[in-house]
Amino acid sequence: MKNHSRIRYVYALMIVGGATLIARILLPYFAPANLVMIYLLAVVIVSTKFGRGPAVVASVVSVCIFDFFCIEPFLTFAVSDSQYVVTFLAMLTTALVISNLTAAARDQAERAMSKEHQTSLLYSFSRELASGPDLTALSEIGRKHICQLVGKKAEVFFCSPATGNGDTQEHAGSFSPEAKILIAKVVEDGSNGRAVITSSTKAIPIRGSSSTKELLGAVVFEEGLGHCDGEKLATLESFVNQLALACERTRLSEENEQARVQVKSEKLRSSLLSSISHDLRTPLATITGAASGIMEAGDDVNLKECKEMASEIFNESRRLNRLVGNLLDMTRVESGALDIHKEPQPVDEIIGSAIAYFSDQLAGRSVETEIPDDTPMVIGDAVLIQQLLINLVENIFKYTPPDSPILFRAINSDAEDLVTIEVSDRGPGIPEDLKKQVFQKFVRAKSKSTTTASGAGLGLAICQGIVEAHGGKIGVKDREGGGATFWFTLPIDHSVDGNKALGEDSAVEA
Amino acid sequence: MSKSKIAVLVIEDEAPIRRFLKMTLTSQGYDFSEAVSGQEGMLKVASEKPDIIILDLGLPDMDGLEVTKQLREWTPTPIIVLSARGQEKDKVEALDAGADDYLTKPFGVAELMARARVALRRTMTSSNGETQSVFKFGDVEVDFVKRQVTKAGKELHLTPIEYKLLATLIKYADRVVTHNHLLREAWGSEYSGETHYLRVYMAQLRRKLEKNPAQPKYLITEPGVGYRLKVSQ
Repeated sequence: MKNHSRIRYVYALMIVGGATLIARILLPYFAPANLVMIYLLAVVIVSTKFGRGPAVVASVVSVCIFDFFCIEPFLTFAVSDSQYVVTFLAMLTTALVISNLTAAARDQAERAMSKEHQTSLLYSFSRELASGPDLTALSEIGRKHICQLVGKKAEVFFCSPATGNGDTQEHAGSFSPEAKILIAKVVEDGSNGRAVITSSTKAIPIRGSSSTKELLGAVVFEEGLGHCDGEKLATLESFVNQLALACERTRLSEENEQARVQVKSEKLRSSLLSSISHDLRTPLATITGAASGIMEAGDDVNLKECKEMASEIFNESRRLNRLVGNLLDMTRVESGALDIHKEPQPVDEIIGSAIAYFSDQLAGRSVETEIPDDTPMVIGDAVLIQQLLINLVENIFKYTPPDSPILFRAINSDAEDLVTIEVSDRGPGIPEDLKKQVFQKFVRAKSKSTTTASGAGLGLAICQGIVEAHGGKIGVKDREGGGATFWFTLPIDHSVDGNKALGEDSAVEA
Repeated sequence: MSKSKIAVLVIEDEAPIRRFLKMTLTSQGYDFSEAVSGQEGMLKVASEKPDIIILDLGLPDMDGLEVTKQLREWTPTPIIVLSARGQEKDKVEALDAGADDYLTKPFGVAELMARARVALRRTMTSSNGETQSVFKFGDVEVDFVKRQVTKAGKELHLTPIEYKLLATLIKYADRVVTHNHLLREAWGSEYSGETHYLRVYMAQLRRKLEKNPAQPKYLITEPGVGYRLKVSQ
């Protein structure tokens, strides 16, 4: 800083020297009084370029040098004609006035420019803050911009909303113990309202705009702010205020989000309860009714009827069992506790196990399978994938006529490294607006074949959970010629080199 | 059989299940006996010498797996274990420890009787000491003497490992055979755990033996547990 100002004075003197040189050259042709103008020009230049101080020096030096070089007798400060004294006084006054005015104009221009710069910094800062989704992002944005502003390392902390004062949570970078002490200090000093930022400040509290001035966090400068001028400190203060506003806004929106989630899960819970109680009661009603029918049957019991009722009980119990299984799976999927035993599985085995599960119910339907011989093995949990297919097939039972055919198909797409398994029916299909929703919980399509749609609407949600846990996708599309096709993908297994395994075997044979 | 009735011992802590088993097994002509804990069950096995044991894996006093292991130390009596869905690991462990078969709760009487019959058949054939030289299922014929497999009269070419797998499944026909068991028999014990090899071969074998490999009639997959050669329909 000091060097810089000294150089300004040196430059000022050099300009005056230049003026003197020109004056000396012009001296034979002009009256000395006119040469005063050259010096005044030099003072104007100095004051515009280097400010007030150098300009004043230049003014005084100009008068002296003018006297020394341009007024007879030359090379002395003595003056032969006393009227020059008036010239000197006028020259000095004019030079001083000019230097003052010019310097003032210059200062103003500089201030305006710096103000504009700070404003644009503030503007871009607040714009970025507006896009910050959470406190972590805000502290990062704050850190970046404040570093840019003060040109030194800075860190931004926010208190965790739950604890408020006292417990400052780190949101950015790592901090030295000293920095942490400083933050603690900010927190301690917390109650005295708005902070006054001075160049000795090392930590600035971020306070809320409400009357309580709740402490939201702190901005910490490990190296202090000694190098910043008032202008910068003022901008810094507005930065901190902006940070406070952004922090409050984020907290509010987070609270809103939490409230929204809570309402949503409340709703889920109540719809779960209502649908489960309905779905548990329906089979239970059948079971109770059929069982009591058998119990109450007189001595002339009709064996055929009894057996029918018993088979009713049996089937409804199986349905209940599936429902309970699905509910358990749902909670496991949701809590992320679904442990998956990923093993290579041949696709025909996967599809076969689902067909085998429903061998009785599938008796009246034509069941076709299209599995190319070169279909690679997929990675998955045998039990979960069977469950997934069981849910898909159960859906078909619910929504299609009892004699409509089912097609299982496997499509191998090596390029994407996955196998798509399709389950298609010839039922009523899925309405366009339901295609995305069917995989959500408690969404059920209106069944046409039965008057009431049964099931909790959990089956497909679990399918989705299972497929996602395997890193696959699931979807539904219209089938050509009518009906719906549910499809899901499973990753291809690469751990087995089928040819290698078989190669070893034929070697044994030879 | 000299004994008029086959004796069943049910080791199960849930009273309703014991009651239901008692009702059905008695009506099917079995001699029924029950135990509510693992300790009691093992004592009864020793004293009553049942022909078949139905063992719940979730007993209050000790692990069903432990019961299986201890029983297998001294008795070959067939054991059928009961467990819930999602406990495939327990089932496999019990099967590998020597249990003959498993049933997933809830189960029907038909399933239970089928499993029991198959398990009993094992002890009877082994006590009779006779082994068949030709085994038939569907249109498939396996001649153990000639090591020849034919399907609808035409000879099938099986690799040695495929043949070993098929022979193992036939040896335990109608019973579940765990992945590890099959691996041990076909490849040797050092291959246990390498179930992917097994799956490649089973897929291969299915293609050779089944009309439609995706809807197998004989080579049935028990998800998460193993395979079963279904012979009696």
